[in-house]
Amino acid sequence: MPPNTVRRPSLEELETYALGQWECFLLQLISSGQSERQTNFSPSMMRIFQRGLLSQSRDKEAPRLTDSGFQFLLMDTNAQLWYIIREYISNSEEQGVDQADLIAFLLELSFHTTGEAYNTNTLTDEQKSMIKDLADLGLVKLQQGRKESWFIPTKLATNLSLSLTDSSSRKEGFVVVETNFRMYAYSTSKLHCEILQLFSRIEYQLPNLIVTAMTKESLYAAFENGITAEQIITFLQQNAHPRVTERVPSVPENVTDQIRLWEADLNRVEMTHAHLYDEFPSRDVYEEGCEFARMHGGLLWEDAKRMRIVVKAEIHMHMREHLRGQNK
Amino acid sequence: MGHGEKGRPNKKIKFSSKDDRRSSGAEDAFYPDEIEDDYRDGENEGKKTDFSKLELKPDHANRPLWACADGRIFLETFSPLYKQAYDFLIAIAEPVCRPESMHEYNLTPHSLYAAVSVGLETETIISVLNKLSKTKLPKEMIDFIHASTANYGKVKLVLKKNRYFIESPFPDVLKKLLRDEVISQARITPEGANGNDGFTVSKTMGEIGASHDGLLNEAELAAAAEEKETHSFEINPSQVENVKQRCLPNALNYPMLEEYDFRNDTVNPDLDMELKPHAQPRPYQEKSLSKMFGNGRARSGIIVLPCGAGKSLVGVSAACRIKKSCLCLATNAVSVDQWAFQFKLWSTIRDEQICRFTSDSKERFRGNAGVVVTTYNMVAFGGKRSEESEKIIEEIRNREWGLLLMDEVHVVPAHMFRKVISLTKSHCKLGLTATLVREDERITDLNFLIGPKLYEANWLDLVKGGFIANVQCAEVWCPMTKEFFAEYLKKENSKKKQALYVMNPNKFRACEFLIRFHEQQRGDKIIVFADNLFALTEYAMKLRKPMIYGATSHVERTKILQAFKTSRDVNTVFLSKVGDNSIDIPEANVIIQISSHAGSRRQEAQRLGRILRAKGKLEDRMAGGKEEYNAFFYSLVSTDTQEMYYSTKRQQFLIDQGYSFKVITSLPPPDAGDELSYCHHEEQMALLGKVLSAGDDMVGLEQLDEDADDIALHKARRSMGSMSTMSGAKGMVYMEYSTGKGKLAGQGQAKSKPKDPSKRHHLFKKRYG
Repeated sequence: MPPNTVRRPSLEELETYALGQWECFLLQLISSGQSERQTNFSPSMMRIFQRGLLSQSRDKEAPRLTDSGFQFLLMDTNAQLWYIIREYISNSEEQGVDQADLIAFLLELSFHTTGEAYNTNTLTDEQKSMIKDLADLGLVKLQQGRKESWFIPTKLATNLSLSLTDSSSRKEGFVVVETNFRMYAYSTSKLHCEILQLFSRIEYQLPNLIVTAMTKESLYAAFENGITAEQIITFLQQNAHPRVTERVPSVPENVTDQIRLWEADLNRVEMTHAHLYDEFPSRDVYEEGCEFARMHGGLLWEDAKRMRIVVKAEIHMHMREHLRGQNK
Repeated sequence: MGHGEKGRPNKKIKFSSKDDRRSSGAEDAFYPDEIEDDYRDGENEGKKTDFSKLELKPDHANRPLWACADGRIFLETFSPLYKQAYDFLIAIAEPVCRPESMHEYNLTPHSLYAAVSVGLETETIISVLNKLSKTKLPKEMIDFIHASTANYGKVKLVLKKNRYFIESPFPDVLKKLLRDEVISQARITPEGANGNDGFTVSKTMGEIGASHDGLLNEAELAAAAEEKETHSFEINPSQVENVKQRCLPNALNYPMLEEYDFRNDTVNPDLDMELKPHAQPRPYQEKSLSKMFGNGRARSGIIVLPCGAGKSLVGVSAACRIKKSCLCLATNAVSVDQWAFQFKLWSTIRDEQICRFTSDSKERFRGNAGVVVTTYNMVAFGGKRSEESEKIIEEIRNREWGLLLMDEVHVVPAHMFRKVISLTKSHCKLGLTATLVREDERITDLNFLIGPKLYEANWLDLVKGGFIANVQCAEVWCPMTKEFFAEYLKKENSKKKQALYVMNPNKFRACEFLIRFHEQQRGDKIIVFADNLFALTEYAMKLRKPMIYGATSHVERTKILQAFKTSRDVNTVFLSKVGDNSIDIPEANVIIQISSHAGSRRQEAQRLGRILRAKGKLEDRMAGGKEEYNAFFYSLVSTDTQEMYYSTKRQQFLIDQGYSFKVITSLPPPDAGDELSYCHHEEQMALLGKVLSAGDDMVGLEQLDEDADDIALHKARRSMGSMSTMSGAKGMVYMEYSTGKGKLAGQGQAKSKPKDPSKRHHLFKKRYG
């Protein structure tokens, strides 16, 4: 147990620390340039986390978030953490770490008590290097005593073993959405700012409030980036400010409906692969062909006057065979 | 505007350039609604304003607002200080939007002018704002308030014995004003002027016990009853308005206050009238009156209350306090009758002291003081009048009115205001309106023509208090049928576009379904609005419902409305845009709008106003009561047509007041099938044929004939269709008076629908899609 000379952080301090670390990591992850300090992850490790989330079309260009990158940002912290941890585990072999050891260690860590200080002496060398990475993610806080060093697991670590949907792991919400599509986010976090910017236009930034407006344009931009209406709505609902969680629904119905309707508006054109047939040798063959396509449920369009039909791609081969047979 | 840009007087420049634009627009009198662009377009373009460096006070959680350097203010409505903060902000700033949890306001020179006019001083404004603010006030804002208000309240316009004087305790200020060409030309120099500047010097009482009740202690103003020396010069009555305009913030920046010390007016005879005991002004009516009479005198200005919230009682109460002759101006003959009725209903005025002056009724009051109710048109009319009218008008012109009461000020074109105001001499002007749609040129005119806005009620607060109906608004999306849409897209049908999207069979079916639902299941009274005459006729004929439009005779209108009010069998009436202004139907509680005038935010608000008058028992209407939603507003739009775009624009005003429109996409429900009209393809094609074969002039907008009293018609002539933006419900009666009261309340009982929020109207409960 830790000596009295080392002051242990209170649970609140610890939580602030953990979330701070995590936010810093995320900001660096999405290369927003907003993060104030760098984590100790090697650039190569960072690139591994980023793969799937960011894409870089050309070398000089700043990398852009991919569909899954956007979706990742809208997830709750625990889900994001798991995503990163999974990447971390799957990459451990290359770092010369045994996967089984790593998983065992993480599991063990998650059963530690939040806020308790544990001596790093008890760790293997491998684990000692891992613990540094975990500190960067905010899972543990490292503390250097006079002779020995300690690690203190945070809530993020102990929550690892809880199920994803456990609401106790959720942070307090901060977003108020109004019926006029304006959002008031009680937050100082740059990360929140980045996230809100994914689907709304930032209008005012105040010391502890971000004012944004959701517009058709801002939402269309989000949909184009592969974010779905459902993800946005879930995000808004999950992060609803306690002031509005008591009202039902926490996000005004007209707003959620409209977000869905705008999304549905973009999906009104349905694509079907198809083939066009024309220059039928005779009307009989044409009509016979129509009949055949209709029987197989593949007739999309016909123009009897000019003897042209369009059939679904699925029956194209059959149709071709059939017409060849006819021609003989 | 970054925080680091202090010192640059950017605010002032921005604001004044905006005002220049506005007031220059004022010269060409009147703009049709099409120009009424959404004022937020562009304004917010690329605006991302970072004030995150403002210093938060340690106890910021207890304070209700944030104030930004660019004049924007955010107010938390859940703060315990909300009520005080709201009263304060509405006095010093323009509301931008007021939904449930967070309000936004803008500080503008005009709004600060209004603040000073109601007796708030610069230092009070800053210190109260600072008290309420979560952050230290930005320096820019303090500078802006100082700059905007430094000159306010120094000059007064006074009417004495039918002559106008400009009065100030500071002779230097008067000299400065006289350096302006317009003002110096307007000056009437008395013969044998004494002294160098020739100012008349007199003594008046200083501000006595000015109060701004309900505010924080510090905001309460010190009472200073000392005698002050004032200097004054006389100006030409015909130039009053120009002089006032020169004094506005965007010009010389010495806005003039107009106050009427009616208690000490011994020249004009008193009018013996009191409020009757049953006239109990509601809290917000009290508040608006207290703004007007805050310092024991009557201030000129505008009071904004939603339709159905009882504007007329405010007007009558004001007249009762001043107790001098009162000229009341309304927009048309019908509302003249309503105003005369209101005066008799709420006050002890004797019948012979009140008279109506319209083209049909030329009454004159007896005695030396009284109330005249007339229309703007009657006063402003420039043509030849009958001998009798000429006499009455002469009397109106020559009298010194204690109060000029103006109804529906937002619809009167500026040039008409000018005329009316220059023709009549009044000590105090009170404008009443329901919808001050801002950034509309005419609204800014009102600032100098009448006076600053004295009070504006918050719609949601009135709904919560049960003073106006809680309306459930819905936008019903009706997909165009294939055939109608194909015709809609054809170039040669460009003039028939409106007819095509209004006659969309899916819209018809949705309308029919809603009428059936509300008539049969809820026993409601329904108004269907259609601007398009062709559609109005088709719908009404097909559904066998009575309709009223411009050409309907007075006798027939009365008959239809009487039947609608009293008969159990007539529950739906179709109205063209004539119904927007002059027909008062307190019984209706459902509106279905099948066509409307382009993007007019005002028409939307006014039509909604027709059903805002609260019905039923108060406790049922309160949140959680069984009749939480007792009024319904449906706007039917054909998807993929212009209507969708207009509809979004139209709703903006109501959305800013905190209303939300629920989108309904599946009406009529699929199982409603055959009992509704046009369910067969052949019928739809026949209808399409009818629309296409009708002449272009048949399917266009309704044109209304002229009418001597109706101000709307002047507008209709000027720009087609803009009359549809005329006012909605007149505040004619409250429920105490309505004949429908017992019946409606009874219905409420009989229907016994439990209405807790989770058990709403089933259409609204239904999820989208």
